[in-house]
Amino acid sequence: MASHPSVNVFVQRLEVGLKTQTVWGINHAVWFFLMGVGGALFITRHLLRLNLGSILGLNGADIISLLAVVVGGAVLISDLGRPTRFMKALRNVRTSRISIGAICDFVFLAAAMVLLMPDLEIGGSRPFAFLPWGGPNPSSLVNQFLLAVAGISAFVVAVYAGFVLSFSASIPFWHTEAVPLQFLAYSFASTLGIGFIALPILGNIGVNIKLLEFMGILLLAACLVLTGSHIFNMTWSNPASRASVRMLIKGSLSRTFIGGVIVAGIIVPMLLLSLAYYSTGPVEYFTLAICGVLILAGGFLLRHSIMKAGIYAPALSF
Amino acid sequence: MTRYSMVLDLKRCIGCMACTEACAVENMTPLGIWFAPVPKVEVGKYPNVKDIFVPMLCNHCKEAPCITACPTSALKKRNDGIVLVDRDACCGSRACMAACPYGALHFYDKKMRILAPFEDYAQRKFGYEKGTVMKCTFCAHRIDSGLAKGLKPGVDPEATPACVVTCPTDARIFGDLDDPQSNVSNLVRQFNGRQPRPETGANPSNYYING
Repeated sequence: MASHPSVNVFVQRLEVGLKTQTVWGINHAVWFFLMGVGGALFITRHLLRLNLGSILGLNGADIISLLAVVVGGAVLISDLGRPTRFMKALRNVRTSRISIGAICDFVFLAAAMVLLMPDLEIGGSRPFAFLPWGGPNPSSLVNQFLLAVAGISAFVVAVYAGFVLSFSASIPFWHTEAVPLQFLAYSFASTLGIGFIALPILGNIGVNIKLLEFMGILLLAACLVLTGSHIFNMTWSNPASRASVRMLIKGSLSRTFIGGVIVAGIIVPMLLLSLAYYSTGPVEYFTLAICGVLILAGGFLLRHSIMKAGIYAPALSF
Repeated sequence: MTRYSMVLDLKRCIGCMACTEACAVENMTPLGIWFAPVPKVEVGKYPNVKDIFVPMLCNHCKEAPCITACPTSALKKRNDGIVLVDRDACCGSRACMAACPYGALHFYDKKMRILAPFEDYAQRKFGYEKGTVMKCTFCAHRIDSGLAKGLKPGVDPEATPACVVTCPTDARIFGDLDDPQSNVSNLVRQFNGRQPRPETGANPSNYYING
Protein backbone atom coordinates (compact mmCIF):
# COMPACT_ATOMS: atom_id res chain seq x y z
CA MET A 1 0.00 0.00 0.00
CA ALA A 2 2.87 2.33 0.82
CA SER A 3 4.05 2.17 -2.77
CA HIS A 4 0.59 2.55 -4.28
CA PRO A 5 0.66 5.56 -6.62
CA SER A 6 -2.48 7.01 -5.02
CA VAL A 7 -0.72 7.16 -1.66
CA ASN A 8 2.17 9.06 -3.23
CA VAL A 9 -0.33 11.52 -4.68
CA PHE A 10 -1.79 11.91 -1.19
CA VAL A 11 1.61 12.71 0.26
CA GLN A 12 2.40 15.12 -2.53
CA ARG A 13 -0.89 16.92 -2.12
CA LEU A 14 -0.12 17.48 1.54
CA GLU A 15 3.18 19.14 0.80
CA VAL A 16 3.28 22.88 0.66
CA GLY A 17 6.00 24.70 -1.10
CA LEU A 18 7.51 24.32 -4.52
CA LYS A 19 5.94 21.62 -6.66
CA THR A 20 6.98 20.59 -10.15
CA GLN A 21 4.11 20.56 -12.60
CA THR A 22 3.09 17.13 -13.77
CA VAL A 23 -0.03 18.23 -15.61
CA TRP A 24 1.52 18.33 -19.05
CA GLY A 25 4.26 16.06 -20.39
CA ILE A 26 6.00 14.87 -23.53
CA ASN A 27 2.84 14.97 -25.64
CA HIS A 28 2.54 18.68 -25.07
CA ALA A 29 6.22 19.19 -25.92
CA VAL A 30 5.64 17.34 -29.21
CA TRP A 31 2.52 19.44 -29.87
CA PHE A 32 4.38 22.71 -29.19
CA PHE A 33 7.23 21.65 -31.47
CA LEU A 34 5.13 20.47 -34.40
CA MET A 35 2.79 23.48 -34.29
CA GLY A 36 5.73 25.84 -34.20
CA VAL A 37 7.51 24.14 -37.06
CA GLY A 38 4.34 23.76 -39.14
CA GLY A 39 3.25 27.37 -38.84
CA ALA A 40 6.70 28.87 -39.29
CA LEU A 41 7.55 26.63 -42.25
CA PHE A 42 4.48 27.79 -44.17
CA ILE A 43 5.45 31.43 -43.65
CA THR A 44 9.12 30.85 -44.49
CA ARG A 45 8.28 28.87 -47.63
CA HIS A 46 6.11 31.68 -49.01
CA LEU A 47 8.37 34.53 -47.93
CA LEU A 48 11.61 33.03 -49.21
CA ARG A 49 10.03 30.94 -51.99
CA LEU A 50 11.57 27.85 -50.48
CA ASN A 51 11.26 24.82 -52.73
CA LEU A 52 11.47 21.43 -51.01
CA GLY A 53 10.64 19.32 -54.00
CA SER A 54 7.26 18.33 -55.32
CA ILE A 55 4.81 15.92 -53.71
CA LEU A 56 1.50 15.40 -55.53
CA GLY A 57 2.23 18.59 -57.46
CA LEU A 58 2.57 20.62 -54.27
CA ASN A 59 5.68 22.17 -52.75
CA GLY A 60 7.20 19.78 -50.22
CA ALA A 61 7.44 22.62 -47.71
CA ASP A 62 3.66 23.13 -47.82
CA ILE A 63 3.06 19.41 -47.37
CA ILE A 64 5.44 19.19 -44.40
CA SER A 65 3.87 22.28 -42.89
CA LEU A 66 0.33 20.92 -43.14
CA LEU A 67 1.37 17.48 -41.91
CA ALA A 68 3.19 18.96 -38.92
CA VAL A 69 0.10 20.89 -37.85
CA VAL A 70 -2.20 17.89 -38.38
CA VAL A 71 0.07 15.48 -36.52
CA GLY A 72 0.64 18.03 -33.73
CA GLY A 73 -3.08 18.44 -33.33
CA ALA A 74 -3.59 14.67 -33.32
CA VAL A 75 -0.95 14.25 -30.61
CA LEU A 76 -2.67 16.86 -28.47
CA ILE A 77 -6.11 15.38 -29.00
CA SER A 78 -4.82 11.94 -28.04
CA ASP A 79 -3.51 13.44 -24.78
CA LEU A 80 -6.88 14.83 -23.75
CA GLY A 81 -8.75 13.06 -20.98
CA ARG A 82 -11.80 12.88 -23.26
CA PRO A 83 -10.45 13.06 -26.84
CA THR A 84 -13.88 12.73 -28.46
CA ARG A 85 -14.79 16.14 -27.01
CA PHE A 86 -11.94 18.00 -28.70
CA MET A 87 -14.30 20.14 -30.78
CA LYS A 88 -15.62 21.67 -27.56
CA ALA A 89 -12.18 23.22 -27.12
CA LEU A 90 -13.20 25.88 -29.65
CA ARG A 91 -15.80 27.39 -27.33
CA ASN A 92 -13.93 29.83 -25.14
CA VAL A 93 -12.34 32.13 -27.72
CA ARG A 94 -12.95 35.13 -25.51
CA THR A 95 -10.31 34.19 -22.94
CA SER A 96 -8.74 30.79 -23.58
CA ARG A 97 -5.53 30.80 -25.58
CA ILE A 98 -5.99 27.13 -26.37
CA SER A 99 -9.34 27.92 -27.97
CA ILE A 100 -7.90 30.77 -30.01
CA GLY A 101 -5.02 28.58 -31.13
CA ALA A 102 -7.29 25.66 -31.97
CA ILE A 103 -9.49 27.87 -34.16
CA CYS A 104 -6.42 29.24 -35.92
CA ASP A 105 -5.24 25.66 -36.48
CA PHE A 106 -8.44 24.87 -38.34
CA VAL A 107 -8.45 28.19 -40.22
CA PHE A 108 -4.85 27.64 -41.29
CA LEU A 109 -5.49 24.09 -42.47
CA ALA A 110 -8.63 25.08 -44.35
CA ALA A 111 -7.14 28.20 -45.96
CA ALA A 112 -3.87 26.50 -46.88
CA MET A 113 -5.60 23.45 -48.37
CA VAL A 114 -7.99 25.59 -50.40
CA LEU A 115 -5.07 27.75 -51.53
CA LEU A 116 -3.10 24.71 -52.67
CA MET A 117 -5.96 22.78 -54.25
CA PRO A 118 -5.51 24.07 -57.85
CA ASP A 119 -1.95 22.71 -57.90
CA LEU A 120 -2.85 19.28 -56.48
CA GLU A 121 -1.96 16.43 -58.82
CA ILE A 122 -3.77 13.14 -58.59
CA GLY A 123 -2.92 10.38 -61.04
CA GLY A 124 -1.10 12.75 -63.38
CA SER A 125 -3.96 15.25 -63.67
CA ARG A 126 -5.01 18.33 -61.74
CA PRO A 127 -8.70 17.92 -60.94
CA PHE A 128 -8.92 21.35 -59.30
CA ALA A 129 -7.00 23.33 -61.91
CA PHE A 130 -10.25 25.07 -62.87
CA LEU A 131 -10.15 27.01 -59.61
CA PRO A 132 -9.28 30.63 -60.51
CA TRP A 133 -6.65 31.24 -57.85
CA GLY A 134 -4.20 28.57 -59.03
CA GLY A 135 -1.68 28.41 -61.86
CA PRO A 136 2.01 29.32 -62.24
CA ASN A 137 1.53 33.05 -61.64
CA PRO A 138 -1.39 33.39 -59.32
CA SER A 139 -2.12 37.01 -58.64
CA SER A 140 -5.85 36.96 -58.21
CA LEU A 141 -7.48 38.67 -55.28
CA VAL A 142 -8.75 35.34 -54.01
CA ASN A 143 -5.26 33.91 -54.04
CA GLN A 144 -3.90 36.91 -52.15
CA PHE A 145 -6.73 36.71 -49.65
CA LEU A 146 -6.25 32.99 -49.01
CA LEU A 147 -2.52 33.49 -48.68
CA ALA A 148 -3.04 36.30 -46.17
CA VAL A 149 -5.52 34.27 -44.11
CA ALA A 150 -3.29 31.20 -44.18
CA GLY A 151 -0.22 33.30 -43.37
CA ILE A 152 -1.77 35.12 -40.42
CA SER A 153 -3.25 31.95 -38.98
CA ALA A 154 0.08 30.17 -39.53
CA PHE A 155 1.78 32.85 -37.47
CA VAL A 156 -0.73 32.36 -34.65
CA VAL A 157 -0.25 28.58 -34.90
CA ALA A 158 3.52 29.07 -34.58
CA VAL A 159 3.32 31.30 -31.54
CA TYR A 160 0.20 30.45 -29.51
CA ALA A 161 1.74 27.47 -27.74
CA GLY A 162 4.11 29.87 -26.02
CA PHE A 163 1.19 32.07 -25.00
CA VAL A 164 -0.61 29.05 -23.55
CA LEU A 165 2.32 28.55 -21.20
CA SER A 166 2.87 32.22 -20.45
CA PHE A 167 -0.74 32.57 -19.28
CA SER A 168 -0.04 30.44 -16.18
CA ALA A 169 0.52 32.93 -13.37
CA SER A 170 0.85 29.96 -11.03
CA ILE A 171 4.12 28.86 -12.71
CA PRO A 172 6.40 31.93 -12.62
CA PHE A 173 9.02 30.42 -14.94
CA TRP A 174 6.41 30.23 -17.69
CA HIS A 175 4.68 33.50 -16.87
CA THR A 176 6.76 35.77 -19.09
CA GLU A 177 6.69 37.07 -22.67
CA ALA A 178 10.10 35.47 -23.12
CA VAL A 179 8.47 32.05 -23.56
CA PRO A 180 6.38 32.82 -26.68
CA LEU A 181 9.29 34.82 -28.12
CA GLN A 182 11.63 31.87 -27.63
CA PHE A 183 9.12 29.48 -29.16
CA LEU A 184 8.75 31.76 -32.17
CA ALA A 185 12.49 32.18 -32.71
CA TYR A 186 13.14 28.45 -32.39
CA SER A 187 10.25 27.73 -34.76
CA PHE A 188 11.77 29.83 -37.52
CA ALA A 189 15.22 28.43 -36.80
CA SER A 190 13.75 24.94 -37.14
CA THR A 191 12.32 25.76 -40.57
CA LEU A 192 15.80 26.68 -41.74
CA GLY A 193 16.95 23.41 -40.22
CA ILE A 194 14.48 21.56 -42.42
CA GLY A 195 15.85 23.43 -45.43
CA PHE A 196 19.41 22.48 -44.49
CA ILE A 197 18.45 18.80 -44.23
CA ALA A 198 16.68 18.91 -47.60
CA LEU A 199 19.61 20.56 -49.38
CA PRO A 200 21.91 17.52 -49.85
CA ILE A 201 18.86 15.46 -50.91
CA LEU A 202 17.43 17.95 -53.42
CA GLY A 203 20.56 19.84 -54.39
CA ASN A 204 18.65 23.08 -54.79
CA ILE A 205 15.93 24.48 -52.55
CA GLY A 206 15.24 27.63 -54.51
CA VAL A 207 16.98 30.01 -52.10
CA ASN A 208 20.50 31.42 -52.01
CA ILE A 209 22.30 29.06 -49.64
CA LYS A 210 24.66 31.67 -48.27
CA LEU A 211 21.67 33.86 -47.41
CA LEU A 212 20.06 30.95 -45.53
CA GLU A 213 23.30 30.25 -43.68
CA PHE A 214 23.59 33.89 -42.66
CA MET A 215 19.95 33.96 -41.56
CA GLY A 216 20.53 30.76 -39.64
CA ILE A 217 23.42 32.27 -37.72
CA LEU A 218 21.34 35.35 -36.90
CA LEU A 219 18.32 33.31 -35.81
CA LEU A 220 20.41 31.04 -33.63
CA ALA A 221 22.05 34.07 -32.07
CA ALA A 222 18.58 35.45 -31.35
CA CYS A 223 17.57 32.12 -29.79
CA LEU A 224 20.67 32.21 -27.59
CA VAL A 225 20.00 35.77 -26.47
CA LEU A 226 16.32 35.12 -25.77
CA THR A 227 16.99 31.92 -23.84
CA GLY A 228 19.88 33.45 -21.97
CA SER A 229 17.91 36.52 -20.95
CA HIS A 230 14.97 34.38 -19.85
CA ILE A 231 17.23 32.30 -17.63
CA PHE A 232 19.01 35.39 -16.32
CA ASN A 233 15.76 37.19 -15.42
CA MET A 234 14.33 34.11 -13.73
CA THR A 235 17.50 33.65 -11.67
CA TRP A 236 16.77 36.89 -9.85
CA SER A 237 13.05 36.37 -9.60
CA ASN A 238 10.98 34.48 -7.02
CA PRO A 239 11.89 31.12 -5.40
CA ALA A 240 9.85 29.03 -7.84
CA SER A 241 11.60 30.59 -10.85
CA ARG A 242 14.98 30.15 -9.22
CA ALA A 243 14.16 26.50 -8.59
CA SER A 244 13.26 26.12 -12.27
CA VAL A 245 16.56 27.68 -13.32
CA ARG A 246 18.45 25.44 -10.91
CA MET A 247 16.74 22.41 -12.42
CA LEU A 248 17.83 23.48 -15.89
CA ILE A 249 21.37 24.53 -15.09
CA LYS A 250 22.40 22.14 -12.33
CA GLY A 251 19.59 19.72 -11.73
CA SER A 252 17.82 16.86 -13.44
CA LEU A 253 17.34 18.76 -16.72
CA SER A 254 20.87 20.15 -17.00
CA ARG A 255 22.08 17.55 -19.48
CA THR A 256 19.06 18.08 -21.71
CA PHE A 257 19.13 21.85 -21.45
CA ILE A 258 22.84 22.70 -21.46
CA GLY A 259 23.88 19.76 -23.63
CA GLY A 260 20.86 19.46 -25.89
CA VAL A 261 19.43 22.96 -26.21
CA ILE A 262 22.39 25.29 -25.76
CA VAL A 263 25.42 23.34 -26.96
CA ALA A 264 23.99 20.93 -29.51
CA GLY A 265 21.00 23.03 -30.48
CA ILE A 266 22.61 26.48 -30.79
CA ILE A 267 26.37 26.73 -30.33
CA VAL A 268 27.48 23.77 -32.44
CA PRO A 269 25.07 24.67 -35.31
CA MET A 270 26.30 28.26 -35.20
CA LEU A 271 29.88 27.05 -35.53
CA LEU A 272 28.93 24.63 -38.29
CA LEU A 273 27.02 27.33 -40.15
CA SER A 274 30.03 29.62 -39.92
CA LEU A 275 32.17 26.80 -41.30
CA ALA A 276 29.65 26.11 -44.07
CA TYR A 277 29.46 29.81 -44.96
CA TYR A 278 33.09 29.66 -46.08
CA SER A 279 32.90 26.30 -47.84
CA THR A 280 31.15 24.93 -50.90
CA GLY A 281 30.08 21.64 -52.43
CA PRO A 282 29.68 18.35 -50.55
CA VAL A 283 31.45 19.58 -47.43
CA GLU A 284 29.01 22.46 -47.15
CA TYR A 285 25.97 20.26 -47.78
CA PHE A 286 27.06 17.63 -45.30
CA THR A 287 27.76 20.26 -42.65
CA LEU A 288 24.40 21.88 -43.24
CA ALA A 289 22.56 18.57 -42.95
CA ILE A 290 24.11 17.93 -39.54
CA CYS A 291 23.26 21.49 -38.61
CA GLY A 292 19.66 20.97 -39.58
CA VAL A 293 19.29 17.87 -37.44
CA LEU A 294 20.87 19.58 -34.44
CA ILE A 295 18.67 22.67 -34.81
CA LEU A 296 15.52 20.56 -34.95
CA ALA A 297 16.60 18.51 -31.95
CA GLY A 298 17.46 21.68 -30.03
CA GLY A 299 14.07 23.19 -30.84
CA PHE A 300 12.23 20.17 -29.50
CA LEU A 301 14.41 19.88 -26.41
CA LEU A 302 13.85 23.55 -25.59
CA ARG A 303 10.11 23.06 -25.44
CA HIS A 304 10.54 19.86 -23.45
CA SER A 305 12.90 21.51 -20.98
CA ILE A 306 10.72 24.57 -20.40
CA MET A 307 7.71 22.31 -19.85
CA LYS A 308 9.49 20.03 -17.41
CA ALA A 309 11.05 22.92 -15.51
CA GLY A 310 7.66 24.43 -14.71
CA ILE A 311 7.42 24.73 -10.93
CA TYR A 312 4.36 26.07 -9.13
CA ALA A 313 4.94 28.95 -6.75
CA PRO A 314 3.92 27.99 -3.21
CA ALA A 315 0.15 27.97 -2.92
CA LEU A 316 0.37 29.87 0.30
CA SER A 317 2.31 33.04 0.87
CA PHE A 318 1.54 35.06 3.92
CA MET B 1 -25.66 39.34 -4.45
CA THR B 2 -24.34 36.27 -2.63
CA ARG B 3 -20.70 35.32 -2.48
CA TYR B 4 -20.05 32.19 -0.47
CA SER B 5 -16.76 32.19 1.32
CA MET B 6 -14.85 30.20 3.91
CA VAL B 7 -12.73 31.69 6.66
CA LEU B 8 -9.96 29.41 7.89
CA ASP B 9 -8.65 30.04 11.39
CA LEU B 10 -4.99 28.99 11.53
CA LYS B 11 -4.87 29.32 15.29
CA ARG B 12 -7.71 26.87 15.81
CA CYS B 13 -6.71 24.23 13.26
CA ILE B 14 -5.08 21.28 14.99
CA GLY B 15 -4.39 19.21 11.88
CA CYS B 16 -6.76 16.38 12.76
CA MET B 17 -7.81 16.19 9.07
CA ALA B 18 -11.35 15.29 9.96
CA CYS B 19 -12.35 17.80 7.29
CA THR B 20 -10.21 16.02 4.70
CA GLU B 21 -11.92 12.74 5.51
CA ALA B 22 -15.40 14.25 5.74
CA CYS B 23 -14.98 15.80 2.32
CA ALA B 24 -13.77 12.54 0.82
CA VAL B 25 -16.73 10.68 2.29
CA GLU B 26 -19.28 13.35 1.39
CA ASN B 27 -18.06 13.70 -2.19
CA MET B 28 -16.89 10.10 -2.66
CA THR B 29 -13.73 11.30 -4.33
CA PRO B 30 -11.46 8.82 -6.10
CA LEU B 31 -8.60 7.26 -4.18
CA GLY B 32 -5.80 9.79 -3.92
CA ILE B 33 -7.87 12.90 -4.65
CA TRP B 34 -8.39 15.21 -1.69
CA PHE B 35 -10.41 18.36 -2.15
CA ALA B 36 -9.59 19.63 1.35
CA PRO B 37 -6.03 18.69 2.35
CA VAL B 38 -4.43 20.13 5.50
CA PRO B 39 -0.68 20.40 4.96
CA LYS B 40 1.72 21.14 7.78
CA VAL B 41 3.83 24.24 7.27
CA GLU B 42 6.90 25.29 9.18
CA VAL B 43 6.89 28.99 9.99
CA GLY B 44 9.30 31.32 11.71
CA LYS B 45 13.06 31.50 11.84
CA TYR B 46 15.36 29.44 14.02
CA PRO B 47 15.19 29.28 17.01
CA ASN B 48 11.56 30.50 16.94
CA VAL B 49 10.15 27.89 14.62
CA LYS B 50 6.81 26.18 14.83
CA ASP B 51 4.53 24.03 12.72
CA ILE B 52 1.07 25.17 11.77
CA PHE B 53 -1.66 23.36 9.92
CA VAL B 54 -3.12 25.13 6.92
CA PRO B 55 -6.44 23.90 5.59
CA MET B 56 -6.53 24.25 1.82
CA LEU B 57 -9.33 23.98 -0.68
CA CYS B 58 -10.62 25.62 -3.82
CA ASN B 59 -10.90 29.34 -3.25
CA HIS B 60 -13.77 29.87 -5.71
CA CYS B 61 -12.02 32.98 -6.92
CA LYS B 62 -13.93 35.97 -8.19
CA GLU B 63 -11.53 36.29 -11.15
CA ALA B 64 -10.89 32.58 -11.43
CA PRO B 65 -7.94 31.88 -13.76
CA CYS B 66 -9.24 28.35 -14.30
CA ILE B 67 -12.38 29.74 -15.95
CA THR B 68 -10.29 31.99 -18.19
CA ALA B 69 -7.97 29.18 -19.20
CA CYS B 70 -10.55 26.47 -19.85
CA PRO B 71 -10.98 26.06 -23.61
CA THR B 72 -14.37 24.36 -23.41
CA SER B 73 -15.96 26.75 -20.87
CA ALA B 74 -16.54 23.71 -18.64
CA LEU B 75 -15.72 25.77 -15.57
CA LYS B 76 -18.49 28.16 -14.63
CA LYS B 77 -19.13 30.51 -11.77
CA ARG B 78 -22.60 30.47 -10.25
CA ASN B 79 -24.40 33.59 -9.09
CA ASP B 80 -23.52 32.68 -5.51
CA GLY B 81 -19.79 32.59 -6.35
CA ILE B 82 -19.31 28.82 -6.40
CA VAL B 83 -17.14 27.60 -9.29
CA LEU B 84 -18.26 24.27 -10.70
CA VAL B 85 -17.06 21.91 -13.43
CA ASP B 86 -19.51 20.89 -16.12
CA ARG B 87 -18.24 17.37 -16.66
CA ASP B 88 -20.13 16.94 -19.92
CA ALA B 89 -18.15 19.85 -21.34
CA CYS B 90 -14.73 19.01 -19.86
CA CYS B 91 -12.37 17.51 -22.43
CA GLY B 92 -9.54 16.89 -19.96
CA SER B 93 -7.05 19.41 -21.35
CA ARG B 94 -5.88 20.26 -17.80
CA ALA B 95 -5.35 23.88 -18.79
CA CYS B 96 -7.21 24.84 -15.60
CA MET B 97 -4.75 22.85 -13.51
CA ALA B 98 -1.83 24.70 -15.03
CA ALA B 99 -3.57 28.04 -14.45
CA CYS B 100 -4.74 27.52 -10.84
CA PRO B 101 -2.32 29.11 -8.34
CA TYR B 102 -3.64 26.95 -5.49
CA GLY B 103 -3.54 23.42 -6.90
CA ALA B 104 -7.26 23.14 -6.30
CA LEU B 105 -8.12 21.12 -9.40
CA HIS B 106 -7.60 17.42 -9.77
CA PHE B 107 -7.50 15.18 -12.79
CA TYR B 108 -9.49 11.98 -12.56
CA ASP B 109 -6.99 9.82 -14.35
CA LYS B 110 -8.23 6.72 -16.11
CA LYS B 111 -5.88 4.68 -13.90
CA MET B 112 -7.54 5.87 -10.70
CA ARG B 113 -10.36 4.15 -8.95
CA ILE B 114 -12.92 5.14 -6.38
CA LEU B 115 -13.08 2.78 -3.45
CA ALA B 116 -15.48 0.05 -4.44
CA PRO B 117 -18.36 -0.66 -3.85
CA PHE B 118 -19.20 3.08 -4.01
CA GLU B 119 -17.78 3.67 -7.43
CA ASP B 120 -20.93 3.24 -9.46
CA TYR B 121 -23.05 5.15 -6.94
CA ALA B 122 -20.56 8.03 -6.78
CA GLN B 123 -20.35 8.24 -10.53
CA ARG B 124 -24.13 8.32 -10.78
CA LYS B 125 -24.63 10.82 -7.97
CA PHE B 126 -21.82 13.23 -8.82
CA GLY B 127 -21.40 12.49 -12.51
CA TYR B 128 -17.70 11.72 -12.15
CA GLU B 129 -16.10 10.79 -15.44
CA LYS B 130 -12.62 9.49 -15.92
CA GLY B 131 -10.52 11.82 -18.02
CA THR B 132 -12.10 14.98 -16.61
CA VAL B 133 -11.20 17.44 -13.91
CA MET B 134 -12.80 17.66 -10.48
CA LYS B 135 -12.66 20.11 -7.58
CA CYS B 136 -14.17 21.26 -4.35
CA THR B 137 -17.73 22.47 -4.88
CA PHE B 138 -18.33 23.99 -1.42
CA CYS B 139 -20.71 20.99 -1.20
CA ALA B 140 -23.06 22.79 -3.57
CA HIS B 141 -25.46 19.85 -3.41
CA ARG B 142 -25.84 20.36 0.35
CA ILE B 143 -26.22 24.12 -0.05
CA ASP B 144 -28.85 23.76 -2.78
CA SER B 145 -30.89 21.13 -0.94
CA GLY B 146 -30.61 23.15 2.28
CA LEU B 147 -31.79 26.35 0.59
CA ALA B 148 -34.72 24.45 -0.90
CA LYS B 149 -35.76 23.54 2.64
CA GLY B 150 -35.36 27.13 3.82
CA LEU B 151 -32.11 26.48 5.70
CA LYS B 152 -29.24 28.92 5.89
CA PRO B 153 -25.76 27.89 4.61
CA GLY B 154 -23.10 28.46 7.23
CA VAL B 155 -25.65 28.33 10.03
CA ASP B 156 -27.68 25.17 9.51
CA PRO B 157 -25.41 22.09 9.27
CA GLU B 158 -27.54 20.42 6.60
CA ALA B 159 -26.93 23.36 4.27
CA THR B 160 -23.25 23.77 5.12
CA PRO B 161 -20.18 22.10 3.55
CA ALA B 162 -19.22 18.82 5.22
CA CYS B 163 -15.73 20.02 6.16
CA VAL B 164 -17.16 22.97 8.09
CA VAL B 165 -19.71 20.83 9.92
CA THR B 166 -17.11 18.21 10.88
CA CYS B 167 -14.40 20.53 12.18
CA PRO B 168 -14.13 19.94 15.95
CA THR B 169 -12.43 23.28 16.68
CA ASP B 170 -14.56 25.52 14.45
CA ALA B 171 -11.49 26.39 12.44
CA ARG B 172 -13.67 26.56 9.32
CA ILE B 173 -16.42 29.14 9.10
CA PHE B 174 -18.71 29.40 6.12
CA GLY B 175 -20.98 32.21 5.04
CA ASP B 176 -21.86 34.99 2.62
CA LEU B 177 -19.00 37.42 2.17
CA ASP B 178 -21.25 39.92 0.42
CA ASP B 179 -23.39 40.18 3.56
CA PRO B 180 -21.54 42.66 5.80
CA GLN B 181 -23.30 41.23 8.88
CA SER B 182 -22.44 37.60 8.19
CA ASN B 183 -20.08 35.60 10.39
CA VAL B 184 -17.39 35.45 7.69
CA SER B 185 -17.52 39.20 7.04
CA ASN B 186 -17.25 39.94 10.74
CA LEU B 187 -14.31 37.59 11.18
CA VAL B 188 -12.44 38.98 8.18
CA ARG B 189 -12.90 42.50 9.53
CA GLN B 190 -12.15 41.66 13.14
CA PHE B 191 -9.04 39.57 12.55
CA ASN B 192 -7.74 41.27 9.41
CA GLY B 193 -8.30 38.23 7.20
CA ARG B 194 -5.81 37.64 4.40
CA GLN B 195 -6.34 36.05 1.02
CA PRO B 196 -3.86 33.43 -0.16
CA ARG B 197 -1.58 34.73 -2.93
CA PRO B 198 -3.47 37.95 -3.60
CA GLU B 199 -0.76 38.99 -6.09
CA THR B 200 -2.15 36.56 -8.67
CA GLY B 201 -5.18 38.81 -9.13
CA ALA B 202 -7.56 35.88 -8.77
CA ASN B 203 -9.39 37.51 -5.83
CA PRO B 204 -10.00 34.28 -3.87
CA SER B 205 -13.16 34.09 -1.80
CA ASN B 206 -11.49 32.32 1.13
CA TYR B 207 -9.66 34.15 3.88
CA TYR B 208 -7.15 33.05 6.49
CA ILE B 209 -7.14 34.48 10.00
CA ASN B 210 -5.25 33.99 13.23
CA GLY B 211 -8.28 34.03 15.52
